[in-house]
Amino acid sequence: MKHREAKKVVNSRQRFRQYIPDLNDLAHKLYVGCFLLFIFAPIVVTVLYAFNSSRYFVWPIQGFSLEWFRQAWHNRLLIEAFANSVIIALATTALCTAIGTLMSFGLVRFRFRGRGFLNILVLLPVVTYGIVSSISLLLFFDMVHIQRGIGATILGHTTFLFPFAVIIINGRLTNFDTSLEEAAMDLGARPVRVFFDITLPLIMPAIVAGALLVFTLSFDDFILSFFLIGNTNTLPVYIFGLIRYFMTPAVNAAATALIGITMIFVILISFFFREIRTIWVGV
Amino acid sequence: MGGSPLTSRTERADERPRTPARKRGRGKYKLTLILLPGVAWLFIFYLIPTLVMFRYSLLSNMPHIAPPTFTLSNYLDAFCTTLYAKVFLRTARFSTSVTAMLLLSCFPLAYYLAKKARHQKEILILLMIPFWTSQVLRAFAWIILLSRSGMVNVLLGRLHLIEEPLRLLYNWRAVTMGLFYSYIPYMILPLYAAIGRVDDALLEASTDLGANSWQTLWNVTIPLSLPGIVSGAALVFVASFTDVLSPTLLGGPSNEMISSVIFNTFTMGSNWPLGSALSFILLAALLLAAALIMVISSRVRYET
Repeated sequence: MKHREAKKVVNSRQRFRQYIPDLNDLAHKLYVGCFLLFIFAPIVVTVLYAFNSSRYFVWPIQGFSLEWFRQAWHNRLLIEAFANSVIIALATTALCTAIGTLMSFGLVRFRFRGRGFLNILVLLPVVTYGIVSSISLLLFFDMVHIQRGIGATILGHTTFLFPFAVIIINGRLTNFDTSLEEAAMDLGARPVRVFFDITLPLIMPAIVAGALLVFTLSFDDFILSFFLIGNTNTLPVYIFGLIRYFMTPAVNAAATALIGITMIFVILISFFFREIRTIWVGV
Repeated sequence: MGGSPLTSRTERADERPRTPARKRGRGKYKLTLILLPGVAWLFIFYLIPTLVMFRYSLLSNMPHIAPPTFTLSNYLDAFCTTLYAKVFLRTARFSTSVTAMLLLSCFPLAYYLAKKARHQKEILILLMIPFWTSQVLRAFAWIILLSRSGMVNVLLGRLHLIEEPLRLLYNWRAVTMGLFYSYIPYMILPLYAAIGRVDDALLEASTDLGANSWQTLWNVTIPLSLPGIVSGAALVFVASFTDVLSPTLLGGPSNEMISSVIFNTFTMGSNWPLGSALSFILLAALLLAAALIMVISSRVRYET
């Protein structure tokens, strides 16, 4: 009896709730909206000033102009820095993917003495990535007389970024269903064939996701490049110099181009390669 | 009979390293080949440079200038000078407050995304887009936004909230803001993953048993998402502890953090041995923090 009455009360409450807006949900939505606004404010402002006709960063925007894109395009140092960044990122990605895939295979598929130690050793560069590692590499290269420059930067980036590839590929390999490989072997395939026909295609999403992550991290890296690049520049290092000594909207123009490319890239990948997205952002 | 293929498959997944006995000799040879590039790379470009840095931190002066002698004076300088102690304390304060702020502001967001929102994936991807641009560029954008005649000051003036432009840049608020902004994804992603893993049935059960939404949050959701909270907080703390760009670009001379002090020692100053000693101390602190985090997170995982 009592139970039924209680149920009635709950029901009437629920019925009542339909008619008033869900304040809780509304507050949540408002909060998410504000957060997105906060997160996108810097991007929007960067893009706006790229099209500004004044060279001063004063609000409001003065007028529309493409002058800064022209200047960015004709800025030899900027283009050189961009080219260097691309070269370094590509080389680093190639090296990291090769080393990372091999290492991950060794760590997941084999049991050997020192495996636990190696698992931790691989994680250390991720923990100390930043100023400490840049300093140690700077001193090391100085000691063994390796000239600072693009080559040294590639070596440095690879050291600290291939562990990221290992972590991502490890995730995939650990959940790997080995019965597929066994089936292939039972059907008479040789180990090399099994690797290329079964294993590689199945872990490919992880390899690609790792490569993309390494590429972005390498392209955006400031601190390692700053100490290792020597006389020339990478894009973040060049922009850092400009921010400190000479702010110009040409930076905004270059940044706008980059943001555009990145956005298209990320959106395409997120929507078309579900598996990569799963590994990447966990959704 | 019907269930046997399934069980055999799971058993096989458990005993993963299935190298047939006759191939074990070749397996060892193969293993060496597979691991050699990575291990060699780590030894040459990670362990040896760290040792080189340690050796440098024990030198009395730069080897380019005069033959140095070994000394502990750099460590004594680093530990006994109030300047560096202050910088370390300030760094700890900055990273602790940023971690707390991020935890408080990102938890509701992650909760909404994981449990309530309709377009979770789209919103999450949208949230991540700004963080695929370079951190230098983001700092640059904040400088434009917060400058004396920048957008924030002008808009506040228009609304008659302030009489004259505020000094928003080059102080501790700007540094905190820069750190906060930079490490949003480090907090949101682990929180989102952890909250998403909390079983809805448990939340319903809590409500059915008469708990209000705050009680459910405090007694069910938060304890169950503790692994995410720990890993998010750990990531943010470690990353902001070693951040160089926020203090150098957004902070003033009185907001130096330990990494920007090291940065300046190597770029403007020339006392490399002292800089090495400072970075070695930072390295030790980082490794200690990482070990502590590993212990805590394994505890958390066992309890839940």
